[in-house]
Amino acid sequence: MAYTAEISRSNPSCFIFLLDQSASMLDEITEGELVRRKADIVADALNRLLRELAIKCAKEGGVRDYFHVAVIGYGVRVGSLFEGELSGRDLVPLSQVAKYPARVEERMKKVPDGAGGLVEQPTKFPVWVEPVGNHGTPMVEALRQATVLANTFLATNENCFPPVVLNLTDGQSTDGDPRPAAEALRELASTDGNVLLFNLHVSSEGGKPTVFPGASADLNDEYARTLFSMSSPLPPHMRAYAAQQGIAVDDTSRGFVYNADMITIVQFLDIGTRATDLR
Amino acid sequence: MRAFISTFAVAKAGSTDQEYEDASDVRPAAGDDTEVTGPWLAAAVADGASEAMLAGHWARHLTTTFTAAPAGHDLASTILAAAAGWDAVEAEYRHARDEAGEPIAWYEEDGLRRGAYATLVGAHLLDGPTDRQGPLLVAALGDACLFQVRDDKLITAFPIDDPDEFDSLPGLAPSRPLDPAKIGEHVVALATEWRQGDQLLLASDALAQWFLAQARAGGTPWRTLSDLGTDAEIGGFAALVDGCRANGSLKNDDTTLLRIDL
Repeated sequence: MAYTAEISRSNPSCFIFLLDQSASMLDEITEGELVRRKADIVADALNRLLRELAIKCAKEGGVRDYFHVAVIGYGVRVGSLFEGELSGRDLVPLSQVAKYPARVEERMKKVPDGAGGLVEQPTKFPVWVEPVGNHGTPMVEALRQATVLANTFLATNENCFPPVVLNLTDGQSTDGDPRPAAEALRELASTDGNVLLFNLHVSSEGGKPTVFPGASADLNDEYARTLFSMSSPLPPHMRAYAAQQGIAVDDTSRGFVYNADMITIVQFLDIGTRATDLR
Repeated sequence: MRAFISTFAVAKAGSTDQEYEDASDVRPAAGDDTEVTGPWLAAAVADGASEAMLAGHWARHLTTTFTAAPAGHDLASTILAAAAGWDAVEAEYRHARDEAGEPIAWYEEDGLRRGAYATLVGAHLLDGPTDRQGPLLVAALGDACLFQVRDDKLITAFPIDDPDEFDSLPGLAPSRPLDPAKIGEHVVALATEWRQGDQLLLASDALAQWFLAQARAGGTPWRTLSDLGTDAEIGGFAALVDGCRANGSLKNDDTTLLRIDL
């Protein structure tokens, strides 16, 4: 059965994040009373995804290398966004990613107070990527680089849980139609299944936020329809987990979200018994 | 009663023995391969959740709290008693890290704040009118299991009797319960009887699932586990685990068996 490979240090998987840093990402989106630039939204989303991934794999003694991670930006250039110790590197073991963020902020976070309420507590929040927006949107080249990285990883990890590629963008590719490059990426496979390409779409077109839509989705934005068509179908165990989280999914659901959060994909990945509270 | 205790443990392949996060405990303290005699016996197996910090510490804390509790003590209360001691366990760990010059990193803070999680199955055996049979009180939270074998037949499988019911979301005993009342809703208990000659097998989930699958296919996995001999021959258990992992019948996970031969 596909997408059931063990994810472990001896059989790691990989995550490749593609971050749109083009000029259009400086456009603003109004969410209720909140106005934010698209660049801020995707940089924040990516930093939170990396943070969640590290926390998920953290044990006493450090973060376990269940995943290798690449963060590729595309705008003025296409290449790794890692800074400092990791500068210029592409696929990096997760423990190194956790050890070397560009900086660590302290933010206030609401946490359960143990008595049914919430209390604000200072929490360390690592930052790997900053919001950037200029130049065009070479999404095709970014997908090609992801294909090279996934192919390299698969060459030495042929039985792995397939690499997951997450593209965070407003969808306006300026170096051609991204669909053929996306298809070439999705065609790569380990013995456990094809590479998974997911897309997180931020748009100033408005409309209802959408999470893991299926064939019947009413996407009124041209770029949303393109990104939806590029996205992999959600494997059955991910659909089951999404349903447990109260997300409406069916067997045509794809790894695509529109103006919404995708932090759940970290929880989709099975590295052992989940630490969850009784319900 | 007279009981002969054997415990077997193998860490997940790819992990070191120090990373093993199951736990087992027996009272009166039996030592390795020791015959225990007396009017009561308490035994427990716990399995720390892989995604939690200090899961092995919590599993050990749970099993020792269980075996120290009086027979018939409500399991939810036992778990809450263990949870009440968790801050001290965590403080000791933080102190040890500071002493070692390795303070807690940002990625560990969330997990430590959330606490650890583990499944647990425990049993109390009491003498009845004679020392050859008596009450067997079993309680569990999650998918660690107890099996009772009598006259070469599996007569009790608790709390799970179907190998298809195991997944990565079992009920878990929390070290920092957000809603203590929920624990009582998920704990299950069974009161039955032990007899001299019975065999009780307490197992963490991977072995329990393997055991039930073998039994459903018409096999006699209890004979396989009986043939393992004693702790001194733990190589036999490791070989069994390796072989079953290799043929795909046993999930790669920490694997623990506590065997009580009555």
